Amino acid sequence: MDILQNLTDGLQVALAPENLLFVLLGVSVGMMVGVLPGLGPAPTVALLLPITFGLEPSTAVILLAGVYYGAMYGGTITSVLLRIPGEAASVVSTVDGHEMARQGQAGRALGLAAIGSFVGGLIATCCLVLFAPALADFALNFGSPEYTVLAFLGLILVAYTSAGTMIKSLVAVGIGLLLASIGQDPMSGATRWAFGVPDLMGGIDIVAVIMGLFGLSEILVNIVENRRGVSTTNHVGRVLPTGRDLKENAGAIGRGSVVGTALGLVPGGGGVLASLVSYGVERKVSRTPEKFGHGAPQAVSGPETANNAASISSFIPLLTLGFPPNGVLAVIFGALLIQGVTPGPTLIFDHPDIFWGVVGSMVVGNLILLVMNIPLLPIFVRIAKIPPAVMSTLTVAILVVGAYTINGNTFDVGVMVAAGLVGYLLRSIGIPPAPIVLAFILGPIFETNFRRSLVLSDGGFGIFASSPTAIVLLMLAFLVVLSTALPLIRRRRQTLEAKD
Amino acid sequence: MATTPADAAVTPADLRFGRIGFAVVTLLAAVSTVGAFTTLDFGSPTEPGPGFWVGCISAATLAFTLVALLNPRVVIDGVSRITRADGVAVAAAVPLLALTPPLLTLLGLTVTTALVCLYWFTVITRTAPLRGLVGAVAITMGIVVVFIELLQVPSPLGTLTGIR
Repeated sequence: MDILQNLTDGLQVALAPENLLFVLLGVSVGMMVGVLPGLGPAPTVALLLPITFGLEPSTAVILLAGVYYGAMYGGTITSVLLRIPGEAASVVSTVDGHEMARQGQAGRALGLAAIGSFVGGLIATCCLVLFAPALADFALNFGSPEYTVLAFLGLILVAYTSAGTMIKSLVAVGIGLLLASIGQDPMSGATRWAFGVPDLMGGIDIVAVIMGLFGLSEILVNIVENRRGVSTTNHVGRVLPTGRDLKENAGAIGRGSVVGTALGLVPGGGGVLASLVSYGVERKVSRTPEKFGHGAPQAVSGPETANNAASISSFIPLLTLGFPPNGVLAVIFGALLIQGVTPGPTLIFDHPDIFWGVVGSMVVGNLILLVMNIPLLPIFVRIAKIPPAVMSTLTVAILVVGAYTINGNTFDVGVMVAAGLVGYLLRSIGIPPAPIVLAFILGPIFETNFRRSLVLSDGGFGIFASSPTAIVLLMLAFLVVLSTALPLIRRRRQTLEAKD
Repeated sequence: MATTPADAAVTPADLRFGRIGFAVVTLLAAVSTVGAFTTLDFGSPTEPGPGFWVGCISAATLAFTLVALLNPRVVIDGVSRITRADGVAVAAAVPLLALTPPLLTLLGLTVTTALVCLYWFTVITRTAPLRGLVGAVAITMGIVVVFIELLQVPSPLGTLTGIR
């Protein structure tokens, strides 16, 4: 009953004229971002941060959340029509989705993806409604040891699920934690790594770091591609799926919803992992796996459902534990901090308008996306043809202005530029930016609780296994490490045996 | 950039690029570790000082970078060697990016944005000069309208130009 009342209140917040306008703006920008190859949801959410400074906290999160799940819808369009994934989570659809387009079924593929995304989004929102309050209630009992172990598990999972080898992601985590240690020591107030620079004494701003690592480095990575244009488009055809289509894809949409909702909760997971796993599941359960890769509708509807469901369920750890599970949520975490709101277990009780308003906006936003997706397809296809040179110049200009507006000083512009160049160089040697940002955010939480626990226990490390919750979390972390180490040990043994 | 997945054919140039890159990261991690232990108060596990956390994290990062550096399979994974074309383009962007903070103070937000856009269009993306000029003016106008007029975000007043 409470939940229904809260949900009604949340819908009222979402349907307030100002919020409704920002839901519409968020999902529209998200769709465009999804359509435009090269500019992912994380850089865009970072770019939009300056716009949120003057907004109410709930409106700010509603806008940024809309961009995130809107991008999941939009990414499908270019994947299907142009075989260019607008954003990473839609890579899977470039195979079967584009194959369907070549067979004159582009509209069918896009319609199924839109309906699947809508269903997946609603199911994930239901999970958010049902489980988030209980999880927040449970997390209220967490002490310093539990938070320390939770941060440790979170970082291990981020490293485990990030692209590339785990060791490189661990290096990225280390870099993020070290960057977070610049400035005042949270316990004693002593200054670290400031080198006498007054601007460094308060630490470096997370938003400037995010803008540089995600936004500027992305532009620099694609700097040569930005000179080229985008061409070609296809005939869309009938978009609304038939009853038979829906019946044939109901299973894939259902499974995609479950897979996406579950994987959205995993740190480092999100849309990309969810769509890849969903594709694998669909291929496995299909009676005609040989059709996969040649235009199987389930290979589009399942993964597209999963990536949207994941984008929504990933709000659960952020809003209940204060742990952003991926890069986009890390930016939204930063947006909430700027607004003076600390995400965590108390958010749902202290700021119910934000939590339930965001939930309500997800219902409204998904509905808007479903309605928008079908009639506005031709417009979004045209957006994909905006010259990359214009997009990259506009992005650089917004980054400069945005970085300045964080605190009204040029130092943050310098931080953004430095973070962009460092991010570019790190990406060139295979170190991903997302774990750096996530570690940067978790760093102060991790350090403060780690050191507080040690003080409480008189230096005894046994405190980190002093409660059932901490033990379970530690075991999970151990299992993750073990699952990475075992195959490596086995491979090494095989190599040695082969040599003998 | 030329992406190199771990299982793809690895050129010696890719491996060398990855090794040099990782050597630099390892060196920085080593400097950070030494700095943490020598310049910050380490304290003890019962009373951890400001250097305790930094020292632990630096040492762990150094260990990870060393493991990576010694394993060619890890070094090469995900390496996107910076090609000559990429290097030239990024090198052309660096002076502009480095000059942007002082330019904001000297020229204000509007003029700096216009200059950044014009430079990016003509030098970085190699757009025709006239098109670049039109694009730069259009983008600057858009930014002024959205950020300064509508959102009224703080913007620096140029000490040389006297305008925002």
